[in-house]
Amino acid sequence: MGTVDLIVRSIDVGFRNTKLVVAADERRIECEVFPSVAPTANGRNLSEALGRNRNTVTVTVEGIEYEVGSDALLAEKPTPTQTMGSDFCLTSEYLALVRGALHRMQVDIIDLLVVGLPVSTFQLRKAELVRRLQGCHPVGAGRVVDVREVKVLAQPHGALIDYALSTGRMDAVRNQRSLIIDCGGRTFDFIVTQAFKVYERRSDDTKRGMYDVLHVLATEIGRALRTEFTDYDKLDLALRTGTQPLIFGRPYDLEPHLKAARKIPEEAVSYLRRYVEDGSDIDDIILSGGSAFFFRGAICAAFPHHVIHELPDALYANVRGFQQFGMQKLTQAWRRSATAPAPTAA
Amino acid sequence: MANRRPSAEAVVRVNFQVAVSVNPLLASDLKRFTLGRSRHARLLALAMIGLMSERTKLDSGSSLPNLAEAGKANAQVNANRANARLADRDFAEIGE
Repeated sequence: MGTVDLIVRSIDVGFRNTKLVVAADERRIECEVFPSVAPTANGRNLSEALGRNRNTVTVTVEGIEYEVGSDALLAEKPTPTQTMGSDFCLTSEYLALVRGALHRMQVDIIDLLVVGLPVSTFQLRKAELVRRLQGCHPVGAGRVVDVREVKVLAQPHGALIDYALSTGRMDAVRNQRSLIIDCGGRTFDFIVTQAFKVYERRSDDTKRGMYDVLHVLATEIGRALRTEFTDYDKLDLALRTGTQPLIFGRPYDLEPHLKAARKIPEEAVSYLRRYVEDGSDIDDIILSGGSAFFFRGAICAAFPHHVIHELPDALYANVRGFQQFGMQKLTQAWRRSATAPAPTAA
Repeated sequence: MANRRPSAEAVVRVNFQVAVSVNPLLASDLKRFTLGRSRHARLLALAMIGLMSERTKLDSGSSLPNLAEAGKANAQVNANRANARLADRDFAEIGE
């Protein structure tokens, strides 16, 4: 019996980073990330003049060219101006980020594209986003990618699927109530599920993310040094690696400002507690998202009786879950067609 | 000659108790041993395994995604993945 190769790919466009799957099979999912900034391309590329191309691609959306990719911050103004409203997924910048991700995937046809939305905008924007992403996309360098079908999931649902499948706890998840927390760049999303079904009234997001943590730190540093400090990425890297960032060329001790910065996770968790209280009816708490490392402490303090399951490579947990969902969905659809040749979803 | 006690810098002193109700798994493991000295040795072994496991996890970057290396491929290999399957009911609940 012959086989048919079906291409499934996934993208998780966050307010801070865009995560995507570039290759996948049953045992391996390969992910990439680039910053969620899409400055308009102005043709001026100093790196190129110096003999090195920026690792970006120029994509066109509604007649305007945007530069997207790993080095897009080099083309961005000193203070990146990300769009952060609830209609982010309807903006030209969002579509530019998706097209930049499609470019990275190196395929011409995608049978199923799985993407995510924050909890608060999921029901509101799901249908519009499907319409927007289905069809042909110019992805730069003269290439076009044909996206045949689109599925949209709530972002934390991806983490739950990844947790259930990759830890071998599928049966446990099916029989328990879970709280999935997605600590993102700009939002703190959470869903409560019974098996995979979402309790909508106990699921929400709040605008408390790593961006807000960095903003507090930058403001505090600016006040202390009497300057306008805006290098959020330098602070982000310092927090993740436990090092002191160089400011004016000298190592700067962040410790005096961390108390103020930790207020952000505390506020986010206070908001969450309004929905789940002490979590006495929650069996499992699953932590995902690229900012999980900074929010972990506040979450552990708020739920001292629970074991907090932090997913490995938490930054990619959502997109890994989307990919596994998509691959199994397509395989299931083909299995139902008894006469069709066996598919290979990848 | 008087016994020479180790200096404060050379040892880390921990007075350890574990409540069965809080940590039933650890408590039942330690209760297998009747001597305090054996429990101490077992606890030390478990702590070292935990520490090394945590270090391995951190070194592989699993808990600390390094955004300085944004764009670099990140491969995930997991044997569980090949066996686990979403069922029709799961797809329905996810919102199909």
